[in-house]
Amino acid sequence: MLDFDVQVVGMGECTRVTVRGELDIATAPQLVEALTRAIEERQPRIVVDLLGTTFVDSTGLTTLFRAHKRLESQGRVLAIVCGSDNFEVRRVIDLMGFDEVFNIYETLASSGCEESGSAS
Amino acid sequence: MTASDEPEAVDAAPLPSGAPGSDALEQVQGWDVAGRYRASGIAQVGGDWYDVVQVASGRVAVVIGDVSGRGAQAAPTMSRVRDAARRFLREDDDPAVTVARLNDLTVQLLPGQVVTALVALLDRTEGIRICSAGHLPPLTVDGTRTRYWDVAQGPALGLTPDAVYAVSHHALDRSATMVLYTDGLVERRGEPIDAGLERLARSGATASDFAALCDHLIGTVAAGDDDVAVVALRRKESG
Repeated sequence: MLDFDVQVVGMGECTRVTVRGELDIATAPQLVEALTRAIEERQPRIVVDLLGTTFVDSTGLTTLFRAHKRLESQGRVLAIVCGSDNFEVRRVIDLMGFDEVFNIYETLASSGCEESGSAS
Repeated sequence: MTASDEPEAVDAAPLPSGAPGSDALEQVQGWDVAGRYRASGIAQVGGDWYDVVQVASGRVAVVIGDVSGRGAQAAPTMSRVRDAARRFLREDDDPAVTVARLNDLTVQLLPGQVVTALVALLDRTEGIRICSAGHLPPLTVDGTRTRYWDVAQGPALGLTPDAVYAVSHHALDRSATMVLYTDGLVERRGEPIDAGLERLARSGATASDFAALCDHLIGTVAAGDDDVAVVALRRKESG
């Protein structure tokens, strides 16, 4: 089994997409499906939580980029949460130059999509 | 230029320079160039390519690139960008000019496509000029010593119309070989990219024969089923 899981949770003004495990060419189709659902929620802000993402490749980042562009064209925002301590993922983002286009935040709190209560 | 000008099919897309069956040493004045291309699965072409272009100034340009995605889906974009790179380099051999033009083309005509690419312009007296668009750094091998060059980096092609690209200058000694490669060579699931880069450097240090270098690297370093392109180059002994 692939070590991958993605969840979409509506949180008031924003929709949170939590990506866990290895995001690459094999698992990217699941993220495409999750992002499509999140975009259909029609909230102004979608926050993609990569805090639990252990590996990412160019196809995974391209999937996020396409969602970013689509939301931007609709006047909506894609925000990405990837702490600088998530070195492996951040390194690939920076190496390919995605840091020049993505809205990247260190924490869920700073991304404008923090959960108020407890959830899983 | 409009978004509807996107490629739709692979029809008439020529094979990349480094397609299966064309792995011979390239005949280039002043330089030895060897390349290898391996498509994933049963596909004949994929998103990776390398190319060697004799430019008007008598210099030689080497291009390597990688379209996000795999196999036949990425091939139309690959052939489009590769052919444009050839044309742009013949008009102006400045690597940063070509990379900036390729970025404009990708942003405007291939929306949503993301391509990493590296252009190296070889000059036997002036050294090597490099511009990278989000591509992995060149490895140099000199005997058992290996080093990754810190090259001028801009974002991958297609990310932003505001991208700025610069050129860095590098010296390649007579005893040294420069290796360009795509991420299919070094990436492995569940492993940091730096571990793959270390594996590539270790493998490069144990290579003996220039002609067999690309096969050696693919055989000892590549793990997955991703497209892989590798190109190695060094100064010719004479001429």
